[in-house]
Amino acid sequence: MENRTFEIPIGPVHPALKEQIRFTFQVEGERIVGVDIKPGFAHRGIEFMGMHRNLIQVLYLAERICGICSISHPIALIQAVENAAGIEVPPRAQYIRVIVAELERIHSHLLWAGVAAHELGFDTLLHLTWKVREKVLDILEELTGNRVNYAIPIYGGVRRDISPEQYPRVREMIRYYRGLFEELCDRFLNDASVEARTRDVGVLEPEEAEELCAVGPTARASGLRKDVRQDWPYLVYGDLGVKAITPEDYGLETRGDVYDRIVVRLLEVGQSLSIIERCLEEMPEGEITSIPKIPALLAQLKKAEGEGIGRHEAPRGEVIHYVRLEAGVEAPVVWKVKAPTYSNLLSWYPMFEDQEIADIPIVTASIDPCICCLDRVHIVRGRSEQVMWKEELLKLSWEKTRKIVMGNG
Amino acid sequence: MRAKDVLAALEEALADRLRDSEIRTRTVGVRSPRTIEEVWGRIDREVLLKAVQTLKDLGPLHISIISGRDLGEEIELLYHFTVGFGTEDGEVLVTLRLSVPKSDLVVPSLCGILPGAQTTEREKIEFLGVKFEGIPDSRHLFLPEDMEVHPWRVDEPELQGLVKRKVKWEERDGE
Amino acid sequence: MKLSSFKRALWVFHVPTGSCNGCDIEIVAALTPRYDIERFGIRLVGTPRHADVLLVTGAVTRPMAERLRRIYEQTPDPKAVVVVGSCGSTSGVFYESYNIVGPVDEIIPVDVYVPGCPPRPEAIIDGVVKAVAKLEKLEAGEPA
Repeated sequence: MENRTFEIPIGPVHPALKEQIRFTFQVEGERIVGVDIKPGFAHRGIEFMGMHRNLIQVLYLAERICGICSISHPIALIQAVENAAGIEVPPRAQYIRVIVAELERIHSHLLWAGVAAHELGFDTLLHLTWKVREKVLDILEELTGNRVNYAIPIYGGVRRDISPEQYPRVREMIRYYRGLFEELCDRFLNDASVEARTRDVGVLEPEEAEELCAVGPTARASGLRKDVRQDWPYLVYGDLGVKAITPEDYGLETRGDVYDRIVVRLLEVGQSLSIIERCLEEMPEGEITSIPKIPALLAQLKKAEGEGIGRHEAPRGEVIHYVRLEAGVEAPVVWKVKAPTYSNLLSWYPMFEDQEIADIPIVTASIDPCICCLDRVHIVRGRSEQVMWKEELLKLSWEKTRKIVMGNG
Repeated sequence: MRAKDVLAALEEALADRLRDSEIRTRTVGVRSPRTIEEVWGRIDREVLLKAVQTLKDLGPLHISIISGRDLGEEIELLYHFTVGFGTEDGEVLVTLRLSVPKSDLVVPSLCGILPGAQTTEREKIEFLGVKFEGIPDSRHLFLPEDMEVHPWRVDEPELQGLVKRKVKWEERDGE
Repeated sequence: MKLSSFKRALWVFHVPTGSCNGCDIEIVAALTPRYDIERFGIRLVGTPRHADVLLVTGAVTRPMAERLRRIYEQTPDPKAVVVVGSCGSTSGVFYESYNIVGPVDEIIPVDVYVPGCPPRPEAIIDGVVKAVAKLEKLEAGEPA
């Protein structure tokens, strides 16, 4: 029989990304033979808005680029502006930025792990990881006053100090996660059905990762030791001796599949715990901001002339901001933002190649935390149109897991 | 990899087509301070591909983003690369800027050398109206397919029509 | 408002219209063990055709406006719309952009606003409960 190719558009509602996205898959039977990606449904024109506002307002916009990495964008923006305007940052403020950034990494990776479990049909594991995730949100709320959008960094420092009474609570959290860490790893990595669904699925070869400019855990799971914290040690990361993590650090051979991405993210949770612990020990006393008064800060920024780049390793990879300031203009003349998914977008093409439709949810989620997964799927067959909602697609994924479990047992 | 090696390689390959080049360093860290280095330079579009090939020969090359700006008569593009991406404490940020006149907005595409540049090049097509010669896919990425205005250009009279002004709080008070 | 008990399980469909994910993860957090709204019979469904309540997040981008209208029309009556987050309620920080046509109440009718950037899960649950009160009035034939 002649092979016929069908097209399946998925999306555009896909809230895990800055962009809500639409995939159009070409399938032959169950096999994916091609994919086209169209982002832009959540395009709010943030850079355009930012180029018409003063820099303090831009900070709030940067925080709202992504609600999951709501400190990563401000950290990159602030470094860019500080470089351009020549503002110094007190050491204590640098440590506080690192602590909040690492807390964010823990919450983001746990969030992702839960979502990945959900895509595979393990809702028990979703609820377990999200239950333990609340602990880090409590600490974030304790330190910053908010569960999401922490509003901690400001040009020249941070807004809030960490008081001595808060140290033991953060340490208690570290102990809590260390106690759970082995169990979490065991649940995810030693489960036969998780392994069956993620091993050799959505593979990204190291050469492809390098050529397509992949970043973050996506690149590291393919064996590339790339981590901005290690390669370009900004803030105090150089002092902390951060090393990029690949699956080899867990004693596994790197295959660049979805399983490896789970390994890398779980190990990074442990790494972030150690970073926070060291920061608490090494953090010097002192000022938390070099220009405490906002009007003075705005006046200095208005006078500033120059350009700068700020980078940060967000939970999902490299964030980079470029800012150009001109004297007498309150708004940045140029503000360019790059989010990690922007770089990882192209990695999806090789990952989807030759996969099954039932693997779409987990492969999609594997580069990036994904909450409600795919909105709906249209299967276009000749003239008749069959609409497949997200639920049905998830059902397909779950059925595949069930078949595997039954086959094993 | 150090910034001076990168700059030397670029100078050797491009000679006088590389202008205003400089190395910017910054000291970071508290306990054991170290420097991170950036290379900045201006090139002509004719030598863009040669410059990128030179950088690629130095080690793993990564393109972060292309940023751009409308200067009135011409468009300035800034290519932000990292050379030695993935080498511990040895990454150099390289920013190459080039200007293209609005009358001839064509730049060679990097996709042949660095396929990962496609996303950011497609973004520049829709936001600044720049054409990339040899890009495999030039459709709109973030903006709707039927949107013809380029939001980062200053000469877009239709843009203001699309912008919904501020919410008029006074009028909404009575609701 | 007084609710003695829910007459039935409440099914909710979540529509992101250009949100930053902040509200969206708090909605999912409301489903997971600490807040656990599923114990009240409130659950997220995968299609608006099964939903009683629409939870809308985000400032409504240009391409999403038409889709939001379509999703609203696909939701069977009686229905209630809850806007979660400041940007959906008032546009918030997202004003003066070429690609934003919101806030949500300029596209579809809204019953409950949950302010906050993002609102806490407790606030989201409270918003959904307020929507239940409206649905029960509608079903009883009273004006909402």
